Amino acid sequence: MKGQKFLKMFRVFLVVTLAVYCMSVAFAADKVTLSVGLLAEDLDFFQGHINDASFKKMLPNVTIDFQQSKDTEEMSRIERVRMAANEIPDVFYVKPYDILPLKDSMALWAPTEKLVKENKFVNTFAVNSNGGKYYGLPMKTFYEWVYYRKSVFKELNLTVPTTWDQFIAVAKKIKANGKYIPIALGAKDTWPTYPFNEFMPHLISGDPNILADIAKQENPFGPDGGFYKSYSMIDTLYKAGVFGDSLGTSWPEQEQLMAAKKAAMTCVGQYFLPDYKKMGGDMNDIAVFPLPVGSAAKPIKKQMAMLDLFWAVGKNSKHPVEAKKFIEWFFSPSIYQAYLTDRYMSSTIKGIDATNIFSEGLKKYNYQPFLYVPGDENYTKLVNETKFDAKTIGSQMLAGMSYKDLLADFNQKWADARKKLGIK
Amino acid sequence: MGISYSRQKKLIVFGFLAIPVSLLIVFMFFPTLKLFQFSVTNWDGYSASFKYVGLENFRQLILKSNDVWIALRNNSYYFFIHLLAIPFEIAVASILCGKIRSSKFFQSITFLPYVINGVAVALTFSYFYSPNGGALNSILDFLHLSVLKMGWLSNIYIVNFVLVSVSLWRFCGLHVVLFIAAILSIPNEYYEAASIDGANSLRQFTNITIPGIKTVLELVLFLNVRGALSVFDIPFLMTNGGPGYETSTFMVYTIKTAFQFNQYGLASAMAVILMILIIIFGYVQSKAIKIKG
Repeated sequence: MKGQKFLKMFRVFLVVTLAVYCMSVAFAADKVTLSVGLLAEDLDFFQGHINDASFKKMLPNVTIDFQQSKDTEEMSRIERVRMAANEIPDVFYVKPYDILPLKDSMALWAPTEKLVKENKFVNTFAVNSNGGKYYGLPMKTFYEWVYYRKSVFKELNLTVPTTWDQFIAVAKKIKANGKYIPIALGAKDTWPTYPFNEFMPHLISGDPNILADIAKQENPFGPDGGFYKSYSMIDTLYKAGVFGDSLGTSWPEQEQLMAAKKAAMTCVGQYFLPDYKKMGGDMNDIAVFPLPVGSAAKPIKKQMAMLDLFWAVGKNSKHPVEAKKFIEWFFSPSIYQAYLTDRYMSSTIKGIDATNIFSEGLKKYNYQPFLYVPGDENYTKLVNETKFDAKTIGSQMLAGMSYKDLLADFNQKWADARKKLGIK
Repeated sequence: MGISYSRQKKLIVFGFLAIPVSLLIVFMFFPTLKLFQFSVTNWDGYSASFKYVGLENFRQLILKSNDVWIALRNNSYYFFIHLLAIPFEIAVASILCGKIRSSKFFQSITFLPYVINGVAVALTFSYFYSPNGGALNSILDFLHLSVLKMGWLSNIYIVNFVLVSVSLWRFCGLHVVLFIAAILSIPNEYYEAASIDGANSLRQFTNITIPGIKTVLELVLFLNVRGALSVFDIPFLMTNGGPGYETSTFMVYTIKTAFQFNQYGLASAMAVILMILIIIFGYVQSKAIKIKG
C-alpha cells in the first residue's frame, strides 16, 4: 500500500520535472547569447546602451556577453588565441594590422549588404577585401594629434609649433622652466611610442604603402629609407630629454600626467580625450595641433589618420543573423552619433558626422589626412620572422641604444628572412 | 554469486584513479606531446596546416637569436640572487624557530607576501617604483635622500635588480616557512647532545641544522631553478620586458614569440628548451650539493 502510494508520487514527480524541462528548453531555444569582444574603453558605452529601447526592438531575445581586453595589444593577443582554439566571439572588432592574421576567423560581408553600402571606407584597404567581399566594417576614423595645455603655453609664452625643429624648441623651453614635463609619454608600455616610431616613417617617406613596399626591398632600413630618416629626427627629440622618465611611466600615468596638468603636451590619437575628461582634466584648457614633421624648407602638411577597428562576425558563429543585427544596431544614427560624441571619434558612415574639437582642429590647420595602410601578407611574414617592432625600437632608443645599430641589425635580419621565405 | 574480492578491489582502484589519470593525460601528457610536435614545425598558431622543419627552430634559437641570450642573462639574475638569499633565509628560519617573543606572528607575516596574488604584487610595485609620485622616490624625498632618486624601472643598469628585489620580497617568505618546518622536524635531542659535548650555536647550525634540512634545501634549490627560469609575471607586468628586451625573461620572450609574432613552432621549441634547462640545472645542482652531518 505504502509502496503503491510512493510509486504514484514518483510518477507525478517525473511528469512534472519532464514538463518543466521541456518548457525551459522551449524558452531557451528563443534566447540568444551573443559574445561580443571589445576594448575596455568601449565597455561603459555599450553596457549603458544595451538597455535602450532601440536595442530591445532590434534584438528582443538577445543578451550580450561582453569580453573585454584592456588595450589593443591584449585584444590582438586574445583574438589570436581564441582563433587558434576556434572560440572567436560572435561579434568582435580588429585593428587594421590584424585583418590578415585573423581573416580565417571572419565571415565575409557581401557588397550588396546595407551596412557595406553605407560605409565610406570599407574598400579603402586592399587587405580588407576578398574577391569583392569584405572582412570587416571600419568603425571609426581618428587622427593623431599633439594635445597641449593652453594655460601652460600662455604661462610660458609659447606658440603652436609648425615645424619639427620648432616642436623640439618648444619642448626644451618647457623643460628649462622646470615646472612641467614637456611631453608625457608612457614608454614603459612600449606601444605609446607609436606616433613617432611607427607613424613618422609613413609621413616622412610620403609613401602611403610604405609597409608593403619595404617587404619588396633588400635594404629597407638604410639611410635612404623613411625609417632611417624619421628615426634620425626622432633621435634628436629623444636625446633632448623632454619626456621626463618615460620608460618608467605607463600609459595610464601618461594620461594622468596630462589630466593633472603635470605635463604640457602629449602625442596620441583622438581616443585619449574621453579618458582625459573621465580623469577630471579641464576640457576648457585642452587644445590640439597636428604633429609637425616638416621643416621650414620642406613643409609636410600631412596628418596621420587611422581607419580603426573593423567590425567582424565570427566565421563559425552560431548566431550570424543576430551578430549582424548587433552591428546594424551600433551603426544606427542614434547609437552611432552618441558613440562618436562620447568617444570623440570621426564617422565612417555616410550621412553621419561628428562635431568636436578635432573637427575644428582639422578646419583650423587644414592638414591633409594621411591614412595608415597596414602591410600586406609578405610584410606580415617578414615582421614575424624578424620580430620587427617599431614601438620596441622606440623604447630601445629612449634607453639610449643607437638607432643606426638597431636598423642595421634589422636590415640584415630582413634580408635573411626574405631569402628564407622566398619573398622577391 | 556476486563479484570476487580481487575484482572488487580492482574496480575500486580503477574507479578512483580513472578521473585523475584522464585529467592528467588530457591536460598534461597530451599537451606535452603536442608541444614536442609543434617545436619541430613552422606553425603560426592559426593556419590549418604547417610544415615540419626538423631542428631548424632549435638551431635558430641557439645560434641566431641574440634576444634569447639576453633573456637567459636576465633569468640568471633571478637565479643567482635568489641562490645568495638562501643562507639568509635559513638564518631567519633558525631565528624564528628559537625562543623569541611573538615568533608565531612573525612566521605568519613572513609567509604573507607569497599568499598575495602575483599580479597584484607586480602592479603594486609598479606604482611603488613609479617616477611620477611613486612611494619609493617620495620616501627618499622625505628622508632628505633625494640624491638617491633614480629611474628604478627605466635605468637599464639597475632595472633587472629592481625586479629581482620584488621577486625576493614575494618568494623569500615561502622558503623561510619551508625551512622552519624542516628545522622543527630535527629532534631536539641532537641539539641537547651537542650542547653537552660543548658545541656552540654556530657548530650546531652547521653540523646539525644544515644536514637536518637537506631534503628541504634540495627542494628549495629546485624551486629556485624552476622559478628563475620560468619567471614571467613580474617582468611582464612591471616593464613589459622592456626597455626593448632588457628585462625580458625567457618566458616573456616565449609569449611574445607566440602571440605577438605568430611563431607557435618557435615558441614551442623555446618551451622544450626551458624544460631541458630545468632538468639539467636541477640535476647538476643535486649532484653539487653533498651535505653530511
